[in-house]
Amino acid sequence: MAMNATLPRFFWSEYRKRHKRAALITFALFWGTLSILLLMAFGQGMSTQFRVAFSGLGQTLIMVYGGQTSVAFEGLPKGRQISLYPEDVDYLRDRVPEILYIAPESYSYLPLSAGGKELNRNIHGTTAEFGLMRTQVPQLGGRFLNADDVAEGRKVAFIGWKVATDLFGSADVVGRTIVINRIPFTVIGVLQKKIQDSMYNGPDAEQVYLPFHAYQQIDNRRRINQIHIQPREPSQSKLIEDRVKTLLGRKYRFEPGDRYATSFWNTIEDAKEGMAIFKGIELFLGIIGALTLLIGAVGVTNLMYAAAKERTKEIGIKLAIGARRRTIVGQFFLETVFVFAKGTFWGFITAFNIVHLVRLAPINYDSFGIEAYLLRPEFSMRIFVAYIVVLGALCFLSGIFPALRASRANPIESLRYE
Amino acid sequence: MIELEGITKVYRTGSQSLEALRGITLKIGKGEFVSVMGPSGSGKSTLMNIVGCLDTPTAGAYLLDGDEVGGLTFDELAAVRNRKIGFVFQNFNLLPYATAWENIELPMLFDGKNGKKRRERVTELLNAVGLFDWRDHRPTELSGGQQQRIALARALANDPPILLADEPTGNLDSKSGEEIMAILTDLWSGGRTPLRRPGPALITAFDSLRTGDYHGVILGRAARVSPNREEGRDEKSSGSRPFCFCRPDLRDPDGPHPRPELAVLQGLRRSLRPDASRGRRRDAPPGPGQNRGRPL
Repeated sequence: MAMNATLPRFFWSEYRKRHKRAALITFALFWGTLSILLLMAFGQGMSTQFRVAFSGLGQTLIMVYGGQTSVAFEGLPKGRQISLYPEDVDYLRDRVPEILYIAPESYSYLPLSAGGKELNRNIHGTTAEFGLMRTQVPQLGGRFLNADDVAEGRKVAFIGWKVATDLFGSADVVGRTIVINRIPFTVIGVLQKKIQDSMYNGPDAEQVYLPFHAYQQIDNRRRINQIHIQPREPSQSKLIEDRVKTLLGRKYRFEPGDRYATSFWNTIEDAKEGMAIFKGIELFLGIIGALTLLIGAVGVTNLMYAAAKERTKEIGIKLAIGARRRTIVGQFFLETVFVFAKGTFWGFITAFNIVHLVRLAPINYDSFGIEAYLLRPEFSMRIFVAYIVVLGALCFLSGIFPALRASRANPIESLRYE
Repeated sequence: MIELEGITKVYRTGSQSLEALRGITLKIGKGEFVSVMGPSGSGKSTLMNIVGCLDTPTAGAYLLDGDEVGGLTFDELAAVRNRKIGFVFQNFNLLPYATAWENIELPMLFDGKNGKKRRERVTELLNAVGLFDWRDHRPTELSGGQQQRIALARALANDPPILLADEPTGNLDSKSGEEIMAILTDLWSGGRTPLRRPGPALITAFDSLRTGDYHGVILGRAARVSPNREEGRDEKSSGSRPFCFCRPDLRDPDGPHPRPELAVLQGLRRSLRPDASRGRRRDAPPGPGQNRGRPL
């Protein structure tokens, strides 16, 4: 049909003539899309960075420390020191099946030298499983301590990136030698940069980790500082705490209910609180996003509705000279879709590029602050799709509603509209 | 061709209802030239809109070429407006964004005519109204008279057998008004017609008798406003005053409330003398000529 070939061209020429009006709506759509997508991207990124920072210390981690008894038990007085020893690790592993990983940790503040520089740093002795639990991700070309290092007491060290740069001025130091207590150790890995919001004895960036038996050669005390445990299921953390208390109580003869004989740092329980905060942040951002969307939608739909309403007389004229309903509604439909697609497309492109440009910004891992949370926005396709669906439906309705209504009444009703 | 039977139109706004037309019955045949006259508010435009299928009556039947218009769908009505009726409005009703050319082309576009046919026809019409050089101008760049000539050309685009002109000179100065009237009468009488079809029925509405000297008139009835609850009261108590504009020799000599519609309209053919009237028009000064008619 000839009509089908020519009407769209006519629509296009009409649209071009009104492009200034359309430009305003396009800009409103562009701006609305841009601001909502950016808001949600930064919010999502912040939430993710909170999680990342939270897991900087470790994933689903329980730390066990010794203590001092506070009640007398089986004829023993209160006030006894309870210390942990390396063999407690196997003792607990054999008796608590819910434990996935378990590792001892000892540390002391010792002099450390390399390349003519000398520093004092916390030197730790531990096993391979520690690396799995404590987010000790090596930089490219290195590795954390492995089971053989530990079993053979190899003179190797895994060091924080800050230790590496402080000593060598570079993080590319795998294979170099550091001297601790006059014993040389080969660096086998450097910790990858990470943000870490909880720690003991300073951030992992400034620590040095040695295989447990090698560490014992520079620090000959038998006591260990703490034991790290990761349960098979996070939900088992309380159960494991109770079992560990009971087992250690049996071994070291203290009342299992004695709150001061041992102490626990249960990051899983902390995480529950943290998760509540994340959920709160996400809910808050969701509400802000929804409200922004609402405001934007009201603005845009109002503009579209006004623009379409303004054309009521035009619709009347067209109906009077013989336009059919589908011609009128079709034109408004095409225009609405076109303007909506144009505005949201540029909004999407701009938001997408801003997000990816911002992600290129470096984060200062040495003393991370607010930028660690703000500089990693995440573009969410899901939010974009939801946004398109909601705003699209509203725009669609407001854009063609006047045309729909006008093409149901007598043409004279529309012609009278001023 | 056009048959109205008991056409009534009542506008309702809230608690008030306004009876614009009451029981209009008339017939207009092919090629007739009919003027609907009456003062402002007498329902001329309402009648024109109903005849032009822009509005629907509250009661009564409208047969167009034997088809009941009330039974047509929205799109069938659109097709009727597109092909059978050309409508010229008092306020031109041109699309402000479109050029003169595009405004004239649009009815043909809606009719699905191909590009070549449209170009030929628009050129022909623009030449007929003497505005070919203004084809790329938008309505705001044209004078009132020029706009109305474009509107007239648009009304003729699809060769309609019926041409309706609702106070086509109402928004124009007297000179432009004369020009439009000259084109209209020329059209009807088959002068320099850009219509391919000879002798369209021409129905005009005026609030005066300016063309009454040589055209027929029909009854207009004053609109009355009455609360809805008073509906159905008889005419006397509701205070409506029927009136009639017509040539003295066509008046019904008998009644104080003549019903001259049919009589007058039927008499029209005989009394119309387009040639003579054209001759007289040329001599007539383009003066005010607005209120030559007297209400009875």
